[in-house]
Amino acid sequence: MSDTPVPIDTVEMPYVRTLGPVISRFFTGLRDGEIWANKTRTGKVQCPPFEYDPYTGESASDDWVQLDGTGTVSSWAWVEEPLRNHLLQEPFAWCLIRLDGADTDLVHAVRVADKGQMATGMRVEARWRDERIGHLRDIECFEPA
Amino acid sequence: MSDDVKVLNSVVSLDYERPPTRAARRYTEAVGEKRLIAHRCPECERLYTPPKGYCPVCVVLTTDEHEIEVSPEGVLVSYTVTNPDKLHQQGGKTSARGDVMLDGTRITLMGELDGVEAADVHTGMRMRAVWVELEDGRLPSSGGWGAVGIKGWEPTGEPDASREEVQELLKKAGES
Ligand SMILES: [Zn+2]
Repeated sequence: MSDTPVPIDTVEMPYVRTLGPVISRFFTGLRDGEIWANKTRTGKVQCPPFEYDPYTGESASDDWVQLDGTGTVSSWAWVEEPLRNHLLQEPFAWCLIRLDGADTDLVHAVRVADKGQMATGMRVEARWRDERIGHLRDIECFEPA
Repeated sequence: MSDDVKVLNSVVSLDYERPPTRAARRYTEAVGEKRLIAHRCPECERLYTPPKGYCPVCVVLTTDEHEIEVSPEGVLVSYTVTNPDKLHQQGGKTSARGDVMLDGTRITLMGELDGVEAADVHTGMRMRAVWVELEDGRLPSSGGWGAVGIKGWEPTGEPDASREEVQELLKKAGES
């Protein structure tokens, strides 16, 4: 039995987190197939939205804007061997995506057929799941636009 | 609004890759035959199941020659009933877990109690192991909880151990 593969034991527990009004609004939007961003008091559009402005420490405003699911890749890292709980079970790129109309980046996965297609500045669009539950995974991934 | 998304449900998980030791392989093979094996420390005579291949108290190695078979049956010496709450254990059912002290040993193994209503669980019940089925000769992941290779415990239907007998067992466990 010396060639037996090393067994993997998984220790796991459910983790339930209350979202608060800001993230709740963002996740509720995702469930409904919409992407919402909020504005800081200096007018910066944050997606994902935050309760505050990380640059000033001030509370964010109550101003919300809806974004399209299109954007530009600001940075990326290629994942050749996805882990079992990754969004995609094929090689993909973790990306910082600057959605059109936003001033901050969203972390999400981009699916391309080949690593050679990945480039900073490439245009991508969200692929939505048919069944959405109010989670960042309601966007299955982004794909080249 | 009432149908807003208010919580994030996620699972925190860790994968452990553990090359099986010889003792662990022997143990797994025994579970496949619905047998339970242990190592007896040659110095202090403590029993370990699953066998570790050493006694951490005496710091001595144990090997096949210290292997003995122990009974997969015993007495329920302690238990707790879990009533799931709505937020954190959605879909959960009221269930009981307990410690079973294996016959002829001071070993208690913890596990889900099967085949008995939570309200009817009581110490002194005679229990036997409900075995895990091997997958390709290997133990499926247990989720990290409970005794390795044992899914839980079910009543044997034999008469209960008396209150005095349970007290004796617990005293014995306390001495180990
Ligand atoms: Zn010892």
